[in-house]
Amino acid sequence: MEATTRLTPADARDLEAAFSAHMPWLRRRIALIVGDPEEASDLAQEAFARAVEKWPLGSSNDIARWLAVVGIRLAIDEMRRRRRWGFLQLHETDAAWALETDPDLWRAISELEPATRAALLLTVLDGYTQEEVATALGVARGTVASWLSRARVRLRPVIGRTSDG
Amino acid sequence: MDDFDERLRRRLSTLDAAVPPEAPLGRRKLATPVRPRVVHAAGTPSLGLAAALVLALVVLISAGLAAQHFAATESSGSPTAAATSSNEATTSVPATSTSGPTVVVGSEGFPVSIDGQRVYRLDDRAAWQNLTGSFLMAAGAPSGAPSCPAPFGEATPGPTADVDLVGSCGDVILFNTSGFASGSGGSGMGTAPKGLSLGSVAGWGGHIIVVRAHTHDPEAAQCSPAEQARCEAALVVEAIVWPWVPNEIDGEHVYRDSDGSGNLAGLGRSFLFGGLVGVQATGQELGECSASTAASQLLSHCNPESTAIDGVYIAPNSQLQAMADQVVVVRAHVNDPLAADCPTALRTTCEQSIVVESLVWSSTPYSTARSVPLPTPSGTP
Repeated sequence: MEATTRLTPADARDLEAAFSAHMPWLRRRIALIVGDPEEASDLAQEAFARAVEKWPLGSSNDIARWLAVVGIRLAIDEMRRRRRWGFLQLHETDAAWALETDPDLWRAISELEPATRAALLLTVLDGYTQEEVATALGVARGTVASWLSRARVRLRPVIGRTSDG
Repeated sequence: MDDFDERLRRRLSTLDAAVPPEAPLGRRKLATPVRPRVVHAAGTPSLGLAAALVLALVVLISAGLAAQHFAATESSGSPTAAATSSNEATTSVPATSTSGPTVVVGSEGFPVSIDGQRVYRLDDRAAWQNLTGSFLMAAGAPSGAPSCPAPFGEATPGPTADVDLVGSCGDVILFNTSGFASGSGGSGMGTAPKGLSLGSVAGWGGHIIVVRAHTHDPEAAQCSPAEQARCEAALVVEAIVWPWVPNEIDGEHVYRDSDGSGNLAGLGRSFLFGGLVGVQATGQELGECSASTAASQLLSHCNPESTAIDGVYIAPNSQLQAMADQVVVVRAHVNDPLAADCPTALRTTCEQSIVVESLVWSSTPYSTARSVPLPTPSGTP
């Protein structure tokens, strides 16, 4: 069991600390992609499981970045898997929390491609640059720029409304 | 960032903040009855925590999203509805996880983390004594009575807060895990009377449990000056979080002994009842009920061996002896028709007897470590 013997007790402590520090954020971010918070928990845990295999990952920033990349990719893959197989479609009840909070925005971002949605969240919400998002998602910077441009067009009718406060 | 971006950021931030937190332990709604995802880790003591963490996460890799389905498959007596995934749920409430907390069990056989939250040990007082807020802690459950049963205890002078936090009656002793793990007994400490009641741990004696607890209770501010320090240090147990028992299955409430088993008689229908199965010899002869087949089928004390769930005796004809030390949820009823055949003197007791109809859910929190799939190297993300 190589993965077990590779971790020192200090590594395990660091891993626990990283789990506590980054898990809430990662879970929330994935939830905004897949909609279902419980599924987000599973995917975030899977991201951490993969982190164990790569541990140590470096500084806290490095860990956060790594987890963002893995977690977001897992979320995108999961969304694509659902679509590919034509089942496991998200029920609205899974995202009731979002529909109760901002139904217009949630429906609008739900209609975006998963990768586009991820790029939007990472840039607007987390401050990642287009370059960084491109690297994270394995696409050209221009592709990210194109996604974001398209997303803005799709969201403008919703964000443009005066009722958003 | 233009105005559009700023407004988008604000609304996304609101959405981000609205993501529900992970359901508290033991409070997750169940769409299907399944057992907690328990990962038993082996390894040297020095690497116990690391191994446990690694194995837990590795299992998540191996099992992935299928873990919940796997868990459901392992549950005993799962109803047909267990085949329905949370994604297929059609209820009007948000679909919720169908699994219990993710528990990482250390080499000593009890949790070292639950849903990513560290589980302290009662023994490591220095580590948890000054924590702010609630924390998880493993300890040995008492099998005996508190130092003096609350209703009959001494009248404790002083402010209510003194009684609540450091009163000498009504407290429940928890034991160090080290003594339990080695089988040598060991020392323990009393908990604040305002917290854990003995009824909550009835039937769990001799087992390790994990509780959510805190020190520095706000009520300590009202303690008398002489007891101030003790009040601050008092351990207030909020809840038992492991072994995990679902509090509802398919929307149906799971009754526990702590709900007051006496109230079950008023339900007038079958109900779900959950807790730890304990089997012990009664050491009694059949005595007054020896001549009654009905009594021997309904009353524990009419049999040489009794079975209980959370310390509540259940009818011997329930056939749960094989489930000893397992946490179960059963469908049961009281007022069994058989009670009519009990001797008059025993009839009321017979009517109150809990008769198990079926096993709905079970888990084996105290089983020995089981093999864990080897990690499958995954590619770079």
